[in-house]
Amino acid sequence: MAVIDIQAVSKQFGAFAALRDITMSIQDGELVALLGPSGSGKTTLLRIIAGLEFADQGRVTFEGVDAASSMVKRRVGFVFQHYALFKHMSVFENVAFGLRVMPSAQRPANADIKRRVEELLELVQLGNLAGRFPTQLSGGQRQRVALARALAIEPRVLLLDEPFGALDARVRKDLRRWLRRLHDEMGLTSVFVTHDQEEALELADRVVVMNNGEIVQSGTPSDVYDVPATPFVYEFLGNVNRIPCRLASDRASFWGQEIAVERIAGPSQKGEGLAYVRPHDIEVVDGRSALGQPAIVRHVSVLGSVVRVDLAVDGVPHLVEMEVSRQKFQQLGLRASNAVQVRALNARAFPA
Amino acid sequence: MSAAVPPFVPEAARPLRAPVRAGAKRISFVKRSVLPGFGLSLGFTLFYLAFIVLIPLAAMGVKAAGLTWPEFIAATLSPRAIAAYKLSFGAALLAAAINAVFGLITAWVLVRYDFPFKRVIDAMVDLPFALPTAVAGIALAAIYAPNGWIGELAAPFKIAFTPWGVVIALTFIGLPFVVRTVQPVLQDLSREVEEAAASLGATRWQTFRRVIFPAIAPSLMTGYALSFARGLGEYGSVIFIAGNLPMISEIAPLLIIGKLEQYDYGGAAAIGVVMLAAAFIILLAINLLQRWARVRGGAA
Repeated sequence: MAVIDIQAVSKQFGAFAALRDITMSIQDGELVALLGPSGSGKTTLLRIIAGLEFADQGRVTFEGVDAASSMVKRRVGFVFQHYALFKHMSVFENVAFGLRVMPSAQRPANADIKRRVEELLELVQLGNLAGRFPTQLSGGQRQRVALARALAIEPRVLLLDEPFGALDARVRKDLRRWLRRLHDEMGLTSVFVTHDQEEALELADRVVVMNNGEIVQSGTPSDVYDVPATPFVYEFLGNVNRIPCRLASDRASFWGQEIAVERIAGPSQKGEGLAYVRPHDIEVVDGRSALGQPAIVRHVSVLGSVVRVDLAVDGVPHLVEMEVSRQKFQQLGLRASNAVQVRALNARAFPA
Repeated sequence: MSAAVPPFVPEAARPLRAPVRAGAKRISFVKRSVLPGFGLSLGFTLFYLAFIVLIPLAAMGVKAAGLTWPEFIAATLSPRAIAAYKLSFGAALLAAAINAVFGLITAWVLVRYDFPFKRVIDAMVDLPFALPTAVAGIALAAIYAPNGWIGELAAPFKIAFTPWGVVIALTFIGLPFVVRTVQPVLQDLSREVEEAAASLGATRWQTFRRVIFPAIAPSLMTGYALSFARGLGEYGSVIFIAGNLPMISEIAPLLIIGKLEQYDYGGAAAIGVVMLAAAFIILLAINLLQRWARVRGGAA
């Protein structure tokens, strides 16, 4: 069942079109990442879902109810990029805020508020810091207070704007995994905005890639990584080599293989094209094999578990990156200036 | 929701303060700091304060001390003097309170909204600072007098030449203090904090009362204190509109001038000393209140 339905939403800031005709729905229990470069409209979309911004055209519905109605009724929790904690309130009061401002008919008794806040602070592992003020906390702790505060109103939907953007790499990784577990245990429906592809791929059930105010592709992390819909998605998600090739209608010949040409709007299907190959989809083949393209090893760099090899491939004007596992690398015994034969395991061509 | 969610492993706890170095016994006000010039600037500050503020005030005390005790009582506790203190302090406190309310609204409008001639209105707020007070006083007296534009409208109710005239003059000169102290703090309030309050279900009024007001309260109190202090010492703009009737609309500074004109320097200084002491106590109280608000506000 769709919890959030977004229908043909457009938003304009002056002459700048932040969102163009966005339609998507978010299912119950899903954890969705809105991924895109800055200016792609992802934060605007999140803010419209939250009711902090209003669409020029189109509508957003929550379980069939129009989002223009009050926020409380919709029960949406929002976590801000810079936490937006209330500086003059203790951690306890920050978390209690959503309960204290409820209309008196629904507001829990003081003892209940205290119990719930303590529960939430335990949940985010800040039980011992209830009396501190936000300025006395580290970034990771502030983020968790913001999360507890948003969860206090028992939201159906949790919206997070670049939730880990301002944290250092180590804390970010821990918090990410913890958030995933929290989402599953509490049965939330969550949407988060990020420009970090690694974060989106690791955390989300579904990744929605945005660019220029439009949804470019929406799918599971492996969908968008393995079968990118456009060159933009290829380049935005992970590393990729762009290698010129010649197109003939819907086929292209590339390094001795025939590969499919993807249909995209715009350029013609004939003539010059670009083949997209991920570095880990390039393989060294036996020198006598007819398949493959001759290449010279230019440079080898060992990056932890993988080894990156820069290749000068025949017929390619720039260096091509290849990634092989440590083990494979040792088997091959590659050195700079070795001559090898390479082929692509998975390549897709787009008209250029 | 319960403890079913596995715990988040917090970052390594680090000590809040470096341990005190053993043997560091030398008593000093100066903490080791990368900011230079503490000694020089403190020395200059003390010298300057003494020269400009303390010595003249001490001279006033000395002058007042030249009176005998009964003379001092007679000068400072005469019914006419007491009526003047009541008017001066009462009008200054009331005017500062009026300014706190309307100054806050003015600052709010100037920060929050865009409208034509906003810059012009912003600049107008400073006019009471710049205008010679006598000019302000004459202008106010002219329009609030029974035959003036506004005085006419309030017909049976007299504004000028009554204590209300004093309040109006003090309100006029005190307004910029509140606006200029609250404005920058309001400007620094992040939109996100208000949006956070809204997203948690707070109404506009709850957001103002629980989130915005506590943040600006210390600056509002500063503005109030400044406006009050200015009002207490104000002379030029008041004397024209007040009418200066003894026991009714005569302010304490005027009483001092009156005594000076009669060469009663001791009596003038005595009244000055009383006003100084009272003003100091009130400002100190406001400062303490403000510190309490700041600590409670977690801004420390």
